[in-house]
Amino acid sequence: MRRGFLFAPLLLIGLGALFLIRNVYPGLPLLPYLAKYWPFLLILWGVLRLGEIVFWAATDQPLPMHGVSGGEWAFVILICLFGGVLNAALGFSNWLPRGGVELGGLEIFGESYDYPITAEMPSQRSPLIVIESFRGNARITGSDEAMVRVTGRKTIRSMDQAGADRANEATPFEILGDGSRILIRTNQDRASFQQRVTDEMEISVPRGASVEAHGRSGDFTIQGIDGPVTIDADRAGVRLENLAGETRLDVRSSDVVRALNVKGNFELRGDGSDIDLENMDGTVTINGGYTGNVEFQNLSKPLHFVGPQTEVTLQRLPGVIRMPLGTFNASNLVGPARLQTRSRDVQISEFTNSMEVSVERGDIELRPSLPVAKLDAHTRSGNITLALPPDAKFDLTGSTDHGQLSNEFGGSIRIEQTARGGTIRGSNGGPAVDLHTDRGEILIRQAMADEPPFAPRSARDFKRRAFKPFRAPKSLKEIEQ
Amino acid sequence: MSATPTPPTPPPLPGAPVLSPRGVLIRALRGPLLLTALGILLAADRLGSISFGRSWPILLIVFGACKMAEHMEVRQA
Repeated sequence: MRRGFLFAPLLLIGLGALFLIRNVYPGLPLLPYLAKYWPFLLILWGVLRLGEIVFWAATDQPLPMHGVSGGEWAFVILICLFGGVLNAALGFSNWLPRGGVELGGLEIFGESYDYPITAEMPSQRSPLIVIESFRGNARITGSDEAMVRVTGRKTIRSMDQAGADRANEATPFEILGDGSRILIRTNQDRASFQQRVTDEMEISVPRGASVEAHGRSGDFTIQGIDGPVTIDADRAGVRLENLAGETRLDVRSSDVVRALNVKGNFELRGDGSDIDLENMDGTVTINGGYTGNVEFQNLSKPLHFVGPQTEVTLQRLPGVIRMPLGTFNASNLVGPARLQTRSRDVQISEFTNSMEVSVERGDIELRPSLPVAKLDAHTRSGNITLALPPDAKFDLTGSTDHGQLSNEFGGSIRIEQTARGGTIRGSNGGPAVDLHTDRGEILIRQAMADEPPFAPRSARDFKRRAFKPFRAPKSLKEIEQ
Repeated sequence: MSATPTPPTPPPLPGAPVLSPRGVLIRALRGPLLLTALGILLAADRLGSISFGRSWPILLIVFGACKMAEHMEVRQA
């Protein structure tokens, strides 16, 4: 029998294990890990092969002519292609231009040529501003004058100056309309397919304006607008500050959506990485898959968050919710609240009104405020810890199918431990508190008066927000000079 | 996908250049060394320390060093 190498069977075992884990724990984010760490597969492969060859040499066995065959190099190239595409598809990198597939190759061979943009038009006090689909960044700022002003630059990648000049003439920047409805048009689609045009715009509009913007890739920054704001874009970062109207965002593959001081209702759909909302006076509705840091602070009206793994509903959030990978930390929220998630460790402190927590896999730690309201917590696999204030009123029923029960609260709580699981009960006349874990421990303890919240507001975060709330687009000053 | 050792080659003609046993080992190690280096450079790129666009010449250096080591192990049959 011919001697083979170890890597192929190990790769099969590894693939089988990965699919098995994916089937048993569907909530585990395997793809993002795979997209980030696939080069280690090549390192493992190379090191294993080195070890095999050194072993054969040391034991006087015949050595192969080539340590890695031609077919294997072809497989290496396939792995690299797969890893690169997966990486870009999940929006982690710029390996492919701007995280997407671009044809033409001018990104590599061409040069950038800049042209200034300047336009203005008188308008009413509350016009509708429509920005047609474009590639690039836009900063839209509300002002007190009845005028729409655009400054900025157009960047054209071309093989030579003459080609860039022709592309510049073919893509005139236009501002059209009648004062009540103003259209901003970049005409980028008129450029030849070999030339790539992007626009960086600083747009000043009347404070009462409504904004409707469409983009293909790039960032939007919108500040100080009283009218409604609608953004529909691909591969865009969105930063909003001091908005008074309703906000609707439909953004695919966003790296960040950040909003600060928004008075109207806020609706976000799409997918991407980070979300950071603070001081929101209207209802907040989010529907989409977000794989980065999700954070909410000080929401005055209900929040409804629906993601592929996690669903959250609550009535008000005077405090903070943070959802980094694999955890859900919250403090100071007002129910009735409901959290349903597949695979996260949940920690919630200082909550009032009823709470329902359902976790497929993960620990639950709850610390309600007084008066304790109806509480229902369930996990299929994980521990449950409930910290109650010493003078709380409750009607407790807790059970586990496999695990220990502990009472550090004292009082009239009784434990009935069986061979595998058991039940813990106690009542002093309060609302129902139901806890259940299929596999895990349950601990009831007293909450200390000086225990810190699970999701404290961090002073560093406040500083960051106060002094650098938004990342501005590239400076345009050299163009204006 | 799995490579197999090549069958025994016929004995070289007298006077023809052949690799010493150490040269054969170096030749066999060349592929895995390149593969490991490629993996390390790509991992460094992914983790943000140095971009592959700047570090790829290291692969040429590894390949060249292996070929030079092989060349030094050639002897006459």
